[in-house]
Amino acid sequence: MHNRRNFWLVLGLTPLILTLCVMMGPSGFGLPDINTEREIFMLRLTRVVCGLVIGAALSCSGVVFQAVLRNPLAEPYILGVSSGAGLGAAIAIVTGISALGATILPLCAFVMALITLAIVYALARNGTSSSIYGLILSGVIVSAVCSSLLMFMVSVSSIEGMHSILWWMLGNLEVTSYSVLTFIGLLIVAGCLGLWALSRELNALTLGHQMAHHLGIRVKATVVVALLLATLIASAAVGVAGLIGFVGLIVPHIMRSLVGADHRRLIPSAAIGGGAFLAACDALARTLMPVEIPVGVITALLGGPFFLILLKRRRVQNWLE
Amino acid sequence: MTSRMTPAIQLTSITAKYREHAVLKDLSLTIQPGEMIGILGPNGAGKSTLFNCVSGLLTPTSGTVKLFGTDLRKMPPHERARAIAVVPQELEIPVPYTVAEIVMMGRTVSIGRFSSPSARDRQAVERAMVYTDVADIRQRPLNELSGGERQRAIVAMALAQEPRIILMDEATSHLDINHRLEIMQLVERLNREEGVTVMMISHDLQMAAEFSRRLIILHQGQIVADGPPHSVLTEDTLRRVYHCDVRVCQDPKSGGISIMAAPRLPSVGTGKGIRIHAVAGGGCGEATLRRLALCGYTLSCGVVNRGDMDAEIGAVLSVSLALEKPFSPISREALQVAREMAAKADVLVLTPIPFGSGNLANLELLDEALTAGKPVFIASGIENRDFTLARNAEKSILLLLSRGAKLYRDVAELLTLLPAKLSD
Amino acid sequence: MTKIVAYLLIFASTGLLTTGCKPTAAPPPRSSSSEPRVISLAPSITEIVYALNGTHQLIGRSSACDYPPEAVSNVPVIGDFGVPSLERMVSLRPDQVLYTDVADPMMDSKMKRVGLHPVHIACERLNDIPSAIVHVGQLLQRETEAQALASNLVEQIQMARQETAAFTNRPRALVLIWNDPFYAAGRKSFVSDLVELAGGHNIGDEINRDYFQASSEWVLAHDPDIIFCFFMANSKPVKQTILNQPGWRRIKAVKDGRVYDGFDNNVALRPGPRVMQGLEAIKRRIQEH
Repeated sequence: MHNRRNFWLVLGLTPLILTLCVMMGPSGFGLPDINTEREIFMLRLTRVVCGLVIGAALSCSGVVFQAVLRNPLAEPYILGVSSGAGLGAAIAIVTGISALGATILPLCAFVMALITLAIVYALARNGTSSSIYGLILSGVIVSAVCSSLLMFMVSVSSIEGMHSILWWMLGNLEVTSYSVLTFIGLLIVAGCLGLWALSRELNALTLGHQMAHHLGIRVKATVVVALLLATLIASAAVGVAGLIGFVGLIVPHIMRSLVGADHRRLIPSAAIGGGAFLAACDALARTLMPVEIPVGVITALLGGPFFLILLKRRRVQNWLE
Repeated sequence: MTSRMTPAIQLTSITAKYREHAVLKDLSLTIQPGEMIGILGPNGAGKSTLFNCVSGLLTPTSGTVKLFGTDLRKMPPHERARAIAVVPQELEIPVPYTVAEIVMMGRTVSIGRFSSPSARDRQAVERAMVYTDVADIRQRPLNELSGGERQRAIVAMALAQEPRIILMDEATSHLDINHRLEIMQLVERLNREEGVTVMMISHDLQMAAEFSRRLIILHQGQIVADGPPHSVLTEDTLRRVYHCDVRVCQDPKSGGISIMAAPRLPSVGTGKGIRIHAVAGGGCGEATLRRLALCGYTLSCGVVNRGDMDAEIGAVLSVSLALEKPFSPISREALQVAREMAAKADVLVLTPIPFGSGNLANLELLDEALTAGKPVFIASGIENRDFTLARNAEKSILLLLSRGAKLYRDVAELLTLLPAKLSD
Repeated sequence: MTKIVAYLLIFASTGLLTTGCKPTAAPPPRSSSSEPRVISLAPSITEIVYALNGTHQLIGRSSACDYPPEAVSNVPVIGDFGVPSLERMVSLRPDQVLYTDVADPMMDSKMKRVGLHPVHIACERLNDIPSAIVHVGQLLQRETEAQALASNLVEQIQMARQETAAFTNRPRALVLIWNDPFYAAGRKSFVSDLVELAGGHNIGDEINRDYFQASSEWVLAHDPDIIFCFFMANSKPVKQTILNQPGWRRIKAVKDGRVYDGFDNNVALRPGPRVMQGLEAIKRRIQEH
């Protein structure tokens, strides 16, 4: 019964990690004085909160994609969210409308991600193959088309525009405005809670769609709602923070090996653990080098080896046999 | 009181299609509560489709499915899950659920969305685990267990649903004989003690006969036999459905039925050294030629048209062929070649080919063989394959039969009729 | 993905390229507490600050701000060119943050949100430089020095323009800033202004961009008289790179041996106070014949 213990461990360690994250920054280690160093404190706090929210969104949607698509390699970007959002950001930058306001760029990325998703789902509905493979296939195709459009925009943009698009794609947790963070944060929290409420359906769906049907689940409706919620929070995360890889792929596996596969426990621990993981990675990205490293580099460098260690141990292997 | 009267499962003339291809054709079936039924049939007979219709995975294109008198289409999923549980052949579970977690999934619809399992749920799970003897391994992840233990856990999940019907879809076919028996005895006990209706698909005829009190054989989407094992498992039915020869024996003491492969030529005899001339064409002789060649007979065939499917099969099996030009009626010259082949043959066989005016001449070969005193075998059912205007083929064949030619129904029967040498 | 990496490298180099300074001897001035303290996010701005004797007012710089080394090496680095760290900037408590170009299109509003005072200095083309100097001078409260420097610069540019205005037979120049793939300077680039002022004609002017990817066929079709190579990283000699291009041997510049490299890229590509130096270097090559 290590699962229950690990669950509380994740829950208990998270506040410690987050406090540590607020103490870390390029201007020095230590908790900033709220009176004299208010800006620095707020800067670090918003980044930590942003990391928490984005990490929660990415790992929660990763959990759901892996369960519903029954594929260990599924990740939040699998249905084309990333390339759609990237295209939206590129459009905003190249047309110059991103300069009009702080909320424009994340909004453009988010809206384009949703449009891409709508196209992916519409294509999958018309497909004759079974729904899951149809979804993945149309996701791959639409992604490829979006990526090509993105490359086109990069190639015709000025050097500065190109740099902005690439910078955005590398991912960053610095939020533009509190209102964006509040809006996206509420959206993500609501999405995660919604997915948590679907725990028993998700549990049944991991046994396969037929078995879930036999257990009394409305399979089609559940799959649609779960995938929509998961892609919604993933798009919101991408809109704010750009493309941050590995969190949505690896955190679900790590959490599954720690707290077990029951989604009642898995979803909250993935949300909290994923948030703490991303916040910690960002703290390292800010402080490791004199110059900030893209946070996606840290998530990959930390997550990859950790994942391999877990793979060596029995439990994750079952996914990949 | 109604449950006594209403059938557990009632299918009324259902037709089910898979990609425009009818898999079940106008099938009706009534199963009473407490029955234990085995569903048999070759691959593609529609067994799984039947299960999918009963479990609601597939909606028949016409006809109704009723469970305990309620139309399945009007039954909400959670009610359906309480009525019927399915044990699949194999359940691939990609995540490391423990046995207890898996069994608890049987209670999926009973546990509220925002609540934890009630005492009632825990009791059902506990009971299911004790029944299937997995209580001791409840904390082990499922994918670390042996095949038998896994399958028991899956059965336990089905039991935790507390269903009134259990469908077993080849649920034991991957298991060793000991685990297979274990699961079957478990299900039998459930059926006896709890009155659960059990419907199982099996490829193991003997086990199905042993555990079921009623057997149903499906063939090409229709029920071809329905009744107690001894009346369903007849050599005749099995030959017709499975296209193979079996011997069915009933133990006079226990009443148990045993099914053995009937003596086949390759095992007890061989056709080596025996020459057969076959009259084929249009691909209808394919199966016959192949089986005869496998049994070691030396074959010749003709007259067939060049490019005909049977001519090509014959060439592959190195059968001597008497050939005619493509799409041409049989010429004197070609018939002469065939006649020489037939003269060397010990036996002549007429495969189930259709006749038109073009290939009618082939029947002369058979007539000559009878005159020469050789055995001649003719595929039955000529009345459906005679396309000559005056039904000349049918008349000729009736004449041949009156002169001593023998009819056969299928290749399996033909093989029992043909002469053979004892193998070493 | 490799494409993206290539683009990234190109950007990184151009970022460094479009940054630079002028060595006017300047005595280190006394610091006064009332003088505004600034952070410079671009090498060209840093060079202007230095040229205005305001280095003591510079409390932060980007890692690309490398000139003059002896004056700026002690100034804290707040991030790479285009990607400053907000927290480092905030912790330095500057009065103003001067920038030309940042990667994050929302950086301006982010800086404002955390209480910084960002000022965008337009300093991209030749004609921007004098006004940029005046703008920086105002911010540093060094208007007098700035006015003097700016009018001097305007004068020099004016003279250079008069000198070359009469040129009728301008040599046609190709300016390459990257060799794999070939990136050439277009009409919107600073170096195009310099080529024009030096009496040449930038063949990339027909492309209305700052820099663009130039195909071999495009180069062959335009048959430039001169090729300038401002490549950042070079393991092979530049001339060898050019000669190894299939078909490039028949380009006029190659036949005439007018492929030039070995420039101080920062001087030629950085729109700062050292502009006249860059101009001289280009002019010398153009008027060599």
